[in-house]
Amino acid sequence: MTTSPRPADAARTAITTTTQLRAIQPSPPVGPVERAGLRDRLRGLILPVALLALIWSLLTDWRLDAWVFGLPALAIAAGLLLAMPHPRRWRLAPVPTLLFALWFAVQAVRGAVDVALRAVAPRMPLRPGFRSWRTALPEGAPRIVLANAVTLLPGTLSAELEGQRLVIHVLDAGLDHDRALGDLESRIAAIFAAPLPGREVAA
Amino acid sequence: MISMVAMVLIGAGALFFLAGTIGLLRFPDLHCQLHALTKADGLGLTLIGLGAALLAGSVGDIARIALICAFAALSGATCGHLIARHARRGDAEGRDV
Repeated sequence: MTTSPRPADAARTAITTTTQLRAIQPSPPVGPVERAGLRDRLRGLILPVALLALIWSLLTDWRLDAWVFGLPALAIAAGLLLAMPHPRRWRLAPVPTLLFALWFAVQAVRGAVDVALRAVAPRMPLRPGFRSWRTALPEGAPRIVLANAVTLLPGTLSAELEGQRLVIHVLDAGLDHDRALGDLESRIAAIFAAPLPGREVAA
Repeated sequence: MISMVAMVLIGAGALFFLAGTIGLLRFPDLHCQLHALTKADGLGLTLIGLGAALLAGSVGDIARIALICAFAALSGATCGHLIARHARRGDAEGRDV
């Protein structure tokens, strides 16, 4: 692996995950925006901007003077959304999303308890190591959700996402993580209604 | 009664922060330390947020606490990933040179 760090790539990932997880896809830039596409993209800004405005209003308790900071931030966010590569809209399936949220909450608690117990155990049971996982999820939001979710599952931390390959750091290399990862992947596929081609293979 | 439950939640949250910090100090390398910070501290903040929400006076306060917890969880996982990636790539470059 001789890939050099790509700051632009990192910034894009960060922005994507914090602004609107399901609407933007960090795919490689696809040339200049066509005229007809621009109107669609401006229309596509309405929902994110309204959402961000609502969040800002909630955070500031609906105070008008807080917009001194909120308005410029909102303008920058809208500009970034326009500058980003063309987003792909994902439809979220409501029932799998709710099931995932509940399952994920339980897993995140398990993960925190697991790492807390390892931290305070006198013998500190750690067998750290890296492993690679080839994901069958489509590019964009599903893979970002996967990378972020892996970090909060028991004993796993996403260390690198490159195309189909997700490098995962594990606290206990002796444990079998394949089943948990496969389970997580199929749950995420259900949220985005994305079919998984065949059985995923660990790389 | 409600304030008792809130105290228990906040106390549990503080314990997770403590465990996360112990992990940060004891774990041998950066990646293991990231496990402790992202997971244990994330749950710690959520528990403290739940406790604070129980004590909160208004719906606006509760909404703000929920937003803060959600954003902290999201940015924690993302930052953990970015730090881990940077460390890995730094290692790889060091070996190549």
